[in-house]
Amino acid sequence: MDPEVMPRVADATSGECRATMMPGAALMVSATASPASPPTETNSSAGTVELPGRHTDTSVGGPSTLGPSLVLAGAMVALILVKPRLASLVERHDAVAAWLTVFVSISLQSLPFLVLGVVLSAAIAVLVPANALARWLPKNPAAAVPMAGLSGVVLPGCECASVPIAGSLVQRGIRPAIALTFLLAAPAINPVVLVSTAVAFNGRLDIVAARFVASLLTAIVVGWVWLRLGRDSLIRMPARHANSHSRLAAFVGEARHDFLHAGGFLVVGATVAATVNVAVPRTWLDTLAGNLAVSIVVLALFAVIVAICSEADAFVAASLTQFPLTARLAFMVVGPTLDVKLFSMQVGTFGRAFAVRFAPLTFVVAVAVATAVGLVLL
Amino acid sequence: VNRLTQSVIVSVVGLVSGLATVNGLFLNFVKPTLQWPLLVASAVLVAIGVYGALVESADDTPAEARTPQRGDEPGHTDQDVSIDQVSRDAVAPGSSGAAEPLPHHEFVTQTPHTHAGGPRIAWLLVVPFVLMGVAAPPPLGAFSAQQDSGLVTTVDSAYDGIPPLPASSAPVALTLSEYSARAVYDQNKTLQGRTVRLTGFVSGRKGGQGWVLTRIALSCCAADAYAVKVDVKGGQRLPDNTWLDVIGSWVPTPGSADTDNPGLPIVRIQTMTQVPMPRNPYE
Repeated sequence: MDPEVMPRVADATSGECRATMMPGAALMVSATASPASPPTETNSSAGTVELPGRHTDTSVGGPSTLGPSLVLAGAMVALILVKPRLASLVERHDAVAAWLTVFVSISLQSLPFLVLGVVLSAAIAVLVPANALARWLPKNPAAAVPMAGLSGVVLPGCECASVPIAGSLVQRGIRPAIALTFLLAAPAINPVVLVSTAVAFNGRLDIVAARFVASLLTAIVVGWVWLRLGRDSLIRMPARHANSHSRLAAFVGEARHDFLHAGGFLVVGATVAATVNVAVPRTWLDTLAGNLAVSIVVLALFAVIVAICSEADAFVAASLTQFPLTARLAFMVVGPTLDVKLFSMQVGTFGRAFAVRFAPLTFVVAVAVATAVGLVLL
Repeated sequence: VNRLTQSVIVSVVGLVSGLATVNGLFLNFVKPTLQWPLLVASAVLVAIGVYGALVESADDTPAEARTPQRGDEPGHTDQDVSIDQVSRDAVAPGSSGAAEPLPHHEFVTQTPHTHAGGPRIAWLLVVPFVLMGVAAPPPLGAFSAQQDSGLVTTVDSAYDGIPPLPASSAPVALTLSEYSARAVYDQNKTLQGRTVRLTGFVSGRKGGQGWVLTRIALSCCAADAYAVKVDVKGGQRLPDNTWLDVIGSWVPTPGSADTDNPGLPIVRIQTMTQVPMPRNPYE
């Protein structure tokens, strides 16, 4: 293996050196193409990268991935430096630029919440002994579901944070129905979301109350339904790799794994959401505002495809003045429990077989509960 | 994706988002209030990545060496690793009690997917951040504004408690949102007889001639952006996305009493100056 690794590492570093000197698209091409080019340009600066690289490469046993990763790291730094020259390229294509901006913004905006989520989930995985959490909850799972829903109040994040945490809870021996209730409730009923709802709707507390009640009820009902009818065997968790020496190493391993996993799927969802955002002007929605039933279904589906963070969706709901309040409530109740980005993350964390059954269940319950609560409270 | 690459990906994401936050690029995508959360998140990611790359990979050498066959074969697929192997992994030498990875519950099935526990989908995470670094996407502008009515509609009922503007003879600087609220919904007509200063960019009027002074507003990030538009009287039509400082006065919108469907607010331009894009392009 060694003779094969050596030239590749040298390649990668030389590619990196070239990358720093070349602006524009040529940069990425040179970076990705470097493993195929002859290893002639190794110079003194490459040596500093090569040493640790070769060492870890041979020990970890993944030679094909080391080169690209080093190139990537170098290229990224270089790209930041040449970005002004590339900006003009994007500006000539308005739709592409808008798509890029929305795509990047969804990813960037999710980042702090995702990090919060994976740090908490790694802490649960590493610091909380297996099954300890289960002992704190009521023995009767049907009673534990509402408790899990209410405990969602304490997580001040959006849905990106709650997916890895729910995954971690299941790994720690919490029954899926209970963890899923938490997953659905947390992004919708935490204080940050409730305050932003109050601000968006100009202090209308009845709307805040309706949102809280409807979201909590949705989470609890879905939890109970899953408890009774769901098949937990559908859940397939990604393998963990926790053979580490210390708690710190285990913590870092968990956090990194969850971050990459949930984050990768989040990007899939962001791609869809950005495309919808640019391709479907929001003014089109106005033409769909019909009677109450139609409006509710339209806004519920809209919530799924636009994937707006639960901390901001109230502002969008408030701006949809052509729609009845109950339909806008449905938008705010469905959004945090199911959207393309969240669905994608659920596929990644719990497996496809689970997600394709759980998503329709969530959608139907959320729409029904939001409609009922809206008709009573608003 | 081996562990070193995972660590590099995490560091790159942290580094790029950190740099973008420091140099102000992040303002093209999210609200300024996310500055500190982003900086903290970036620092955590860089720390995780660097720790993983430097400490852990050296740390793990013995464990890795003892399970050499895992993933070394070329052409192995995600599903190749048997549950058996994963269980062996899970109890590999060196795992401490606290890091015991899996309670073996009957309902949770493991899906082993890559040779070092790292998901291949991780590569996708790099994409938005590479794109951000490479293309430095511009803030949303006239293109997005044209997809939106531009009316400020976040107020459910008409404003009646709008405080008076500060007493001064100089033009009072207002955001377009604030101007719109006062121009369309304000029962006290606080704009009457005042000179205002508005900053925005040029975008085309919907379905017609002329242009409107425009600003994109965010609630959280560019995905929930909406346009705020102020119609203009006077002033020369400049190309789309030209940033302007406009000094002018309020003109009541005809029929604005109908709060269900008010027209755009209007400003009569006295002077307008071309200005560079503000550091934060959004409201």
